[in-house]
Amino acid sequence: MDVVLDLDGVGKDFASGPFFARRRTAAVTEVSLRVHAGETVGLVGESGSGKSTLGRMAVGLLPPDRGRVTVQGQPLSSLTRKRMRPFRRRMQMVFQDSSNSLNPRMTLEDLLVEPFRAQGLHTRSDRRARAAALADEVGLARTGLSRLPHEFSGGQRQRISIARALALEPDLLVADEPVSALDVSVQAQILNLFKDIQQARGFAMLFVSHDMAVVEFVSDHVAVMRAGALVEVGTRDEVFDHPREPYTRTLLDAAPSL
Amino acid sequence: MHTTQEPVLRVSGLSARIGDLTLVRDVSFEVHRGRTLAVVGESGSGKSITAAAVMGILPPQIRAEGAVRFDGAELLAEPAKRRRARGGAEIGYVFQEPMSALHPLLRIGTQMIRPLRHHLGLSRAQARDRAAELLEQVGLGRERKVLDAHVHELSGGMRQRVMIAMAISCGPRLLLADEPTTALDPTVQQQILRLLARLREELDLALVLISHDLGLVARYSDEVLVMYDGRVVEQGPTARILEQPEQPYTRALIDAAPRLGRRVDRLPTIDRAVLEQTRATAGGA
Amino acid sequence: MTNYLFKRLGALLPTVAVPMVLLFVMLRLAPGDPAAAIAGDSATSEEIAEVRSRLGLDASLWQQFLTWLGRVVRLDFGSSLFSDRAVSGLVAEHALVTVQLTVLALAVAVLIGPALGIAAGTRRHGLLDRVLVFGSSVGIALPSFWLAVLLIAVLGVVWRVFPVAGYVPFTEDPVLFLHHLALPAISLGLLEAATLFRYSRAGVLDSLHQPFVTTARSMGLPERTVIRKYVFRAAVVPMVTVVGLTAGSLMGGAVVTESIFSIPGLGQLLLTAVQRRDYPVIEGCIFFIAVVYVLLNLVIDLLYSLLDPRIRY
Repeated sequence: MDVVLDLDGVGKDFASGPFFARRRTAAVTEVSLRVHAGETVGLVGESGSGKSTLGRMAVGLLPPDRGRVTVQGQPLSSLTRKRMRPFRRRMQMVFQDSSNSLNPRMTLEDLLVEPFRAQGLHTRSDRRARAAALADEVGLARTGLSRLPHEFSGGQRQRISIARALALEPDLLVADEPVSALDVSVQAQILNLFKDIQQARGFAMLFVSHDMAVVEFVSDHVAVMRAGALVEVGTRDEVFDHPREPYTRTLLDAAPSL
Repeated sequence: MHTTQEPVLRVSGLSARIGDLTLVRDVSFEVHRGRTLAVVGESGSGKSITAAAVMGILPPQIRAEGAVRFDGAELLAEPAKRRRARGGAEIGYVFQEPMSALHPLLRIGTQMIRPLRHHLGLSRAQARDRAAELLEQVGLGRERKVLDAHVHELSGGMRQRVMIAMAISCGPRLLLADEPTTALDPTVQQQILRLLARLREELDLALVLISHDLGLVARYSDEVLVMYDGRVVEQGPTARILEQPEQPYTRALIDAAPRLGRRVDRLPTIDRAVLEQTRATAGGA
Repeated sequence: MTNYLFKRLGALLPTVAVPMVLLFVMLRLAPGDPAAAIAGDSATSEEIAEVRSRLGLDASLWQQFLTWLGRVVRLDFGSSLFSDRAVSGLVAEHALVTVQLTVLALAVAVLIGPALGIAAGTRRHGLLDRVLVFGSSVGIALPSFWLAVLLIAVLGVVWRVFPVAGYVPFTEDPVLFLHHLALPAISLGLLEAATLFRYSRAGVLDSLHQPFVTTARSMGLPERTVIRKYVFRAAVVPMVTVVGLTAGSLMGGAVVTESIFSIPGLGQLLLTAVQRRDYPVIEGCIFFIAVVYVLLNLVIDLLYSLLDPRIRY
């Protein structure tokens, strides 16, 4: 299988403390991880583990201080600002709180057309047709195309975010806690949607979450992150059936179960 | 044993309305000393409004009706002042977001001391000692550092421990915890739930645990009350509800949550028919 | 904290320098000739030219600027073109009066505005609230000189309780000092009180529904304690900014009020200087006002960190 995302010794520091005595703390120390086409890697960890920072670096939203991020064979650091723009369509991100990332004054159709417009793709009527098709794909009724974000429920807004991320047919999708803010019943629908769409489209997905059960459901491979480093990486069955690290076991014990 | 006594809290036929809109309809339950009732439901189910109605901290535009008997007194019939005075002293409340539920500009000690002085008539020094003891009781150690800290200087778990220490500080018999672990990491969630269970034993509290997560509260509750759309769908002993739910909604809610070790391809979702049927039949309406 | 202070004091320099340079250029480019004014109406063009060269105004703008810059970096603004008095002395003397007036007006605003704001905010939609909200709308809409004239007419002319003009230094007679400054301070302060009322009422309304206030209520604390110790404590922090900015705008407003009440303050000095194109005096006044503004902002920020533990420099 093709390697879509290749993180090679990637690290990121954050400055903290007063101006002169500024300390640099590593949010991510040095992480190497690969995600292949058609595969979902679950990145699991607690708050402050650096998993979101790593996710942002993977799609080039945050430049790493160390190491190299390569997407589809293209090292992101070697892209000029001008060449980065068209390249962005190949890697997309979905966030936890989708209501903040949707312009409240744009209708669903505007929101779905916007990615094409930003990249200067397709004709106007073609864009609208594609927007409607996207709405179908993520399970949003076409009758809602003229509605504004606040008229949708939290689950539907997350569907809109997913549709926007998928519009440009990315090779890589990074989802950062995309179901954490949702009710269990809605979470189930969105998780199913992620699975269906990935099977249909075959992109590589890095799925960031703190929820072990969610990660187990959605992932092919799992990476466990703690304090800026990966403590355990393996296939889903390896990590969940035979965790090697005590920390992974701690996370498994803490996960709610029935 | 416990169940033969008079319950600490007996809610019967509780409804909450805002204008013509009914948010909670005909909710009834009991909680006994040393027991935990989990009230479970998704957003909009009315679980938090039910708790706020018991506590008497509903927003002024929401009206509560029905009966809320606490230790033999009818709370809904009491004047606001009397109800307010029961807060802290007789009923404790733990909020979901300790970060915003604690005052950002006041030291933890200051916030803990005020209710202690007000309800128990302690001197400033006595109240401070008591606050330190309480922090120790919730696992924050006896150091005075936390007392002098501000809420933003504490971790999420520490904040919720402080919130719990404050809620039990004036000796309540009933503790209402509204999604007390939702804002926390899973490992911290377990610690907080264990703490609440321990305090329930030590202080012989009646505990009401509000949660959206049936899997989370299952281990820590004796009874469960499942709510949907402002009504009670099903209630009973936790084990019975989990193993043999009578209502399709309860069954669907249990199944929809991803569960460790259950490697399914798709998660069962709750279909519209079940929701409509639940809305029509729940709460005996 | 110390580092922060140094950084902020360093930033003070450009903040004051930029308006000073702009002022220099604009004054010289503006029409009007101080030499002609000094020489008098009947002066010949030779006489005017002579005055001009004595004042150094015949040099090129660039040369004038360099000379000016050389003096200003040493904080030497020279002396008035008309009275030969040192600018520093003139500004200090008049600024003292303006600062006194500003402090008194600020006291009026701070004593009235926030207290009424809390009273109104905690009784939202009550009679008191509605009356005060209406009053503050009127207050914000009114220009300060209008209130000044009204106060003069009623309290000064009809009832004769206060003098309508003039100034007595504090050191000479503290009672007369207050008596003379009472009307100008009230007319300035009342209108600012309206602004402070608005902000504090909004702050209280906002804090009333904060979760930490609900927590205090859930702990059974009486409503009075909740308002005083929890609601007000949260509402007071943003007020610091408003009070600080109010102090700044009061100094600006003092210019007009001073001329109505014939108070020998900075406003009067500045007004006369502008009319006569007395460049050094204008520059001295503006320099003083700019420094006060910048320092006020610094003090606001420092107060903020004292009142809000989340803010650390």
